[in-house]
Amino acid sequence: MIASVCHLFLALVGAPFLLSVINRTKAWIAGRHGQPWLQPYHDLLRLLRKGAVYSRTTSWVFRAGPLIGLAAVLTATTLVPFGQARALVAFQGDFIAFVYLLGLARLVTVLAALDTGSAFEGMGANREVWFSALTEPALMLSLAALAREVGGNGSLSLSVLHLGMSAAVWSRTGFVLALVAVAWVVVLLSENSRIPVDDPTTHLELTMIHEVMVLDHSGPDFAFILYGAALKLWLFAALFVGLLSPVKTGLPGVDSVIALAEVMGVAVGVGLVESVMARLRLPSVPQLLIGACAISSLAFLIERHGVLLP
Amino acid sequence: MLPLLTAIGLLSTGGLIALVLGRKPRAAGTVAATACVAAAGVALPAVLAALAGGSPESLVLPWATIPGGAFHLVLDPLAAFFLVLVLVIPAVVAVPLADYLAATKPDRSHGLFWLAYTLLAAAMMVVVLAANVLLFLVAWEVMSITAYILVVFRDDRPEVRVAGWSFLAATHLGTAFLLPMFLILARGGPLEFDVLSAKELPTALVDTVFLLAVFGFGVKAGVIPFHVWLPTSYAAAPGPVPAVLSGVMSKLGLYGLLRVLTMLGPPPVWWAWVLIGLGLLSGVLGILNALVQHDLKMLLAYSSVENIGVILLGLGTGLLGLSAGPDRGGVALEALGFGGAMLHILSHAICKSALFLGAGAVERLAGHTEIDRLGGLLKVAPVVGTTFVVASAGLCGLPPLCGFSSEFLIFLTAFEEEARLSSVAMLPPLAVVGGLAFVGGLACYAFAKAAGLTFLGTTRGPSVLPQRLGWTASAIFIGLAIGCLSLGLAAPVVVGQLAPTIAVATRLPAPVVTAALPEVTGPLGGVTTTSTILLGILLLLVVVRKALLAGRVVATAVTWDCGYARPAASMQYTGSSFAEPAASVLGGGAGYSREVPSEMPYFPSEPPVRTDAVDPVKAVIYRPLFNALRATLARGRILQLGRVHVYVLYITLTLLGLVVWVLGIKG
Repeated sequence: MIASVCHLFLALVGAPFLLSVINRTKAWIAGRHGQPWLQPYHDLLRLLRKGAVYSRTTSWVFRAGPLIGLAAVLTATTLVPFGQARALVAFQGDFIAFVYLLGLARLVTVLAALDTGSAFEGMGANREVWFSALTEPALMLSLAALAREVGGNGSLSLSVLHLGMSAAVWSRTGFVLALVAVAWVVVLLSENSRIPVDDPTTHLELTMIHEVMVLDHSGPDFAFILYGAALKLWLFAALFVGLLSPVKTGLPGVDSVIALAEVMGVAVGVGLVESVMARLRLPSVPQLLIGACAISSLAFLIERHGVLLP
Repeated sequence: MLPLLTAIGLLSTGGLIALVLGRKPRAAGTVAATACVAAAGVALPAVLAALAGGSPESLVLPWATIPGGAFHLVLDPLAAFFLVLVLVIPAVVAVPLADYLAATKPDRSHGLFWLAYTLLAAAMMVVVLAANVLLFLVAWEVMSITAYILVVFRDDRPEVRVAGWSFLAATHLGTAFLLPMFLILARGGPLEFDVLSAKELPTALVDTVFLLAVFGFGVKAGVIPFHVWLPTSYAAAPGPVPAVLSGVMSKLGLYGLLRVLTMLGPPPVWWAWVLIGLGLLSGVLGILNALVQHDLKMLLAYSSVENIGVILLGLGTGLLGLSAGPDRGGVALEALGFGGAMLHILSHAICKSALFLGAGAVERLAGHTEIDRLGGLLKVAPVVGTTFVVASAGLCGLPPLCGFSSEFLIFLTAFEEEARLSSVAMLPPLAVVGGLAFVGGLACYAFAKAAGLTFLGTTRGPSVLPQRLGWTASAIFIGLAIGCLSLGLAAPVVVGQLAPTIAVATRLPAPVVTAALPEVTGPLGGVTTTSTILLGILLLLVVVRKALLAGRVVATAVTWDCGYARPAASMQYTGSSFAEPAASVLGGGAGYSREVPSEMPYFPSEPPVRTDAVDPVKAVIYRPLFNALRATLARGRILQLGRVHVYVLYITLTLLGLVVWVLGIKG
């Protein structure tokens, strides 16, 4: 319990740091110096100290968007295990709640965007709902494959699944897990608006997805949104390493440090992808996401085959 | 049973008084609405007692004139579950409906409409209570015909008349499947439900009965491919009427299916596969079609098709669970699947009633429901808009609202089965996982369009004047929004209450279901915990932001349009442009077409791009089928000469033939 609370705080405090890691990685590849390590925290504090400007077109939906969105991501944080500790809240089927909480955060962001009546935000809104409709099956199918592979005893809770992962599981069904990992990389990049699906650093509204939806938010609202986005990246990274990494010692403290290093490693990986790839053309993004769905289904069929042949 | 009979009597009497008062819309509406509310008030206590698992009550009155008929009513938990919907939803809808009709159509008699409305409610009660085949079929027909009268109320419009005809044709085709189904089940014996059984039938006939039930009741439920009547009828029906049709009437198709399943004995696995297949088809095609619609009511209607699909997925995975065998937790899985389906029936009824009431309010405010000419209505009608947004999120299956609890249970059933079943048997639950996730994602897309483009932003058409909503109507909207939230939070309790219903529907002994129930309520309790945390954090954040902004400058300005200072309403995304990215990839499943001229002037005077959506099932299956049918039947026209003396000749010849036939037999 205490370990779970500690990990919750680690996530809450450490999430913006991932953005720094990504930024530094990209700067290092490009031969630049990069921003200070604590820059994301300064940005958040600066926004929290400001007043706010609301568009005259908007209603309560626009003001509720950032609050509900952050609340949903914070609630999702309580469902994600870390290191050797269970999550604060764990129950049979909790990953369904995880996926749908993020869905709630997305819908309120989209509705807030539509509330401004701006063409740009409408543009981002429909891309967001369209791409997420394609990532959701990939995420669910790969979770199903993983639950069957790792859970074994019929347990469908993130906290149990992540304890069940070990090097032995990898040696048994490494290929299936590798396919799941590939699908998850695509899901992680797409859900967190990173290259190759979306470019968080661009300043051309026509090509953006997540950033363009939040053009009108300001002050504390915008801080909530940025913080929620950082936390979401942390959650996906923590789940990715928690459910797929076999590097576990069984010692609570040591495993937490290993998991933390691995989460940072995911951030470095995102930075590397962003350094070597360009954003895809928007019409090609669905192909990538449908590919992720296909890969996670494939993971199933291969694994099926393994069971059919003793 | 007496309260239920009183309720039926109240509804009929109220309808007859309204018929007499027809020329005074306000009075007729008030009488009918009062009758609906009173009927619900009288009957609900008895229904809730039966739902909690009291012993089934029954009533048998002879019905001498009809051979095989009997006025046989039985109130068991399954009937009670559907009776809750049948009593509550029409009562809730009646008040805003009376407002709507009195305001928009004061010039014609409302008597027949209100008589049909109350008789529809009474007929639906009898459908659910009937325990005799003939009584069931008569009530089923009354239900269909009264619903038809509601659909064609605005018969001055050609599209309404067409929709009415397709409704009538479809509902009678459906009944045509039900007659042979009941005849096979009766095996020439008595026509009472409690003796109908498939025990002594050969397997082939049992399978036939199952398929006939799926077709016959599937038409009423609106399962794809039997759904083509549904969207046009819902769009044609005036104001909030589709709330009753979608929230209750189409659910009675599911009731019929469940009732017949209880007569059929242990289901083979492929029945579950049929239900899952139809559920996936309805879910995916339904939501795709919803997404590309231009009309708000059509969008909502197709979403009803999608939700019937989700309910079928719950029933299908439930049946599949049973096939896993008792040793592998089959009972718990079936309870899980059926519990999910029941919960989804409730949550869809609440959310869809709210949405169709909202669409009715939009129709009254703006005079139309075309999404591309709406927008910004939240500021004109805040209560309606807020409820619409909440109910939309509820139907998307998002926590902490009711749709999430039910979809969670269906997901969980599929995940559990996928983890327990082996080899090919686990492909259907896998398809449920993938399909339900996809449908859920697209539902968010479709409802972001429905709620976002109708109620948010600024209006795209002529500006809409605010109208005061009566306090009863406001209370109903707020009540539905709260119901949406509280059903989500109280889902474990509600499913616990549904144990007797699940026991009847699954033909399992009640103690077995009760013993398996913790497997359902346990995870749902986790959902409630999560939702409570969510609401707690939300409250905290509200306080934090209030504290942060206290004493600072909070300004209003024009929407940031990247430096352009005069954004106009016409620059906003329209419904068509919002759906375009998905429609350009998946539009084939929705008969979507997009027309762009090859040459476009720099300043086009009218919208140069046209999009259209034609129901693919209608275009590919029904239209060719009915055209061929008409061509064949047209050959019979040579008999139809249009001259009276020829017809007299036909009559004479027929009489002559009959005389010869009778004399021949006698001789």
